[in-house]
Amino acid sequence: MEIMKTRSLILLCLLAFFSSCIVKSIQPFYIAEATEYQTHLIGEWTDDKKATWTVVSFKDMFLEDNKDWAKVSDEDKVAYQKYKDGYFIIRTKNDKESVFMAMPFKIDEQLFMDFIPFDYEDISNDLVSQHLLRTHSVAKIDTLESNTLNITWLDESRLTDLFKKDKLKLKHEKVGIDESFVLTATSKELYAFLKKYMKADIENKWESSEKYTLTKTNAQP
Amino acid sequence: MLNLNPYFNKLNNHRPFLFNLVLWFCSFVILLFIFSKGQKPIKIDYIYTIGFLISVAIPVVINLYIIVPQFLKKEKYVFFGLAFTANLILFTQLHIWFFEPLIDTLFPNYFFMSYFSNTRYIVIFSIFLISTTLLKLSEDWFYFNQNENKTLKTQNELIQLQLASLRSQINPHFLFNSLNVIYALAIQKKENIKDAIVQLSDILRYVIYDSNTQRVMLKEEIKLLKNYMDFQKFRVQGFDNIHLKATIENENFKIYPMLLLPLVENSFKHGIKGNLEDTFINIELNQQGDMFYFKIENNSLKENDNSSNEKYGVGLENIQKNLEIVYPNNHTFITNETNNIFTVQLTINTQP
Repeated sequence: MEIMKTRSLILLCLLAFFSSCIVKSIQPFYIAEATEYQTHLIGEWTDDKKATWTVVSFKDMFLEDNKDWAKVSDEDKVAYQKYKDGYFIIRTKNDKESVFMAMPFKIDEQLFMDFIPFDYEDISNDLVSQHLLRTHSVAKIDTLESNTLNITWLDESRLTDLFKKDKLKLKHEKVGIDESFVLTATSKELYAFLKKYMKADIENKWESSEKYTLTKTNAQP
Repeated sequence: MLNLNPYFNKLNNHRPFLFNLVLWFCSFVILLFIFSKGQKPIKIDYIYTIGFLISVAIPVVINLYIIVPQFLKKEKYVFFGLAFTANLILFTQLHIWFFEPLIDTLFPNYFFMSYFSNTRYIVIFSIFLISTTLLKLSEDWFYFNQNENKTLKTQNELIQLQLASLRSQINPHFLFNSLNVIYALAIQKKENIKDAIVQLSDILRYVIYDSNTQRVMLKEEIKLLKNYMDFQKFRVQGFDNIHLKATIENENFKIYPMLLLPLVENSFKHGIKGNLEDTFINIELNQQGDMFYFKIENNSLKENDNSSNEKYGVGLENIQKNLEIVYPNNHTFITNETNNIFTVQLTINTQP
């Protein structure tokens, strides 16, 4: 029993630590008009933290699983329309999988990706999972070479600075014991924020604790 | 007669600086409260509120100082409606198009995201334009009302001044006549001179103090007339041909003071001369409901009366002036002289 308590506490602390790093939002960071499917992201990738990333087209996977369109439920059809330009991303590290739904979108030619967790192995089918709210996060995608790209999540501390300096008016709520914030603004507002943030003269505005360099492993020669 | 403030000057005493200061300060506070969503306002809220206020001030000023004076105040309601709507739509659309890009350019490191949608801006602009129009009309009404009150006050003061002036002409006139009576009694060394002085004193008390109100009761006026008639008997020994017939429904009927005495004075002054056998004064008073009727007639000795016509007319003229001020359009005043009988008839209707 004591061991369980300790484990739970560690898990909570880890979650708190993890969640305090990137900006989370109830609503997606993109607007429908800005989404843009990127074929070159499809494939197998490894990151600089020895994790593998499998990026699969949501559309392809959905159509593969639902060959008979007549049998597709209305709910699934709505989901299909919503995410057909998106991806399933499976990140595997130490044999543990994390699955995300990701949506690529552009702001002034800069590629971004909106992430929302789909499944997390450690807490699946657990009472804890029922307490967790799936939130969106956003990452900037920079292609370094044809087979290498950087994924940089928007860091919470950047927005915290803006909030503290009274320079940001964006709907949010403070949650949890660590009072981390969750954005509650609309997708339109979030997208507008990112657009202006891109142009803003803020030092180290893309400095982040969650930054990965991905290299494609199944690249065609 | 009255040099009153002309109507066209009535709206010229506005204080535009004060009006705008109060208007925009209140607007700033209200908008700040709205944009900070009831929370403690932060720096970004102040910047956004000032920017928004400037944006909304342009159509409001155009509305207040061009559209309202040109159309609404000239009762061109259709044109006002069209101009008001056009002004609202134009500047709301300009705000939607240019406000955010402009404020973002001016403040590149400030992020004005979660304020309002375009729909709400239309609502805010509409509320602003409507409420400021109503406020302007209220301000105009306030000044108009203030001027109306000033005008009425000035008018009232002028009337009071006129009445006081007319009364001041009556009192010395009466006093002068009365002193003549006392003088005559003194010369004749009459014993009842003391009674005459006391009676005069009562009359003067009434004339100077008691009558110095807007209205007196009819019974008091009748008492004055009787006192005066008794007093005059001291002057004209042996004169008894004077009759007062009063038919009064309500003794407390209110009447303007000192209207009747000058008429009786005139009758005594100009009628009681020469042979007392031919002289008479008949007074008739009638009051019923709101109507009051007074008639006095005396023998006319015009051919023997060498006193100045001007003086003869002063009392009657003063009464006529008083009546015009106190009972405008509610009275008749008729003088007539036939067969050596001089008659004055006065009718007053006190119904408003």
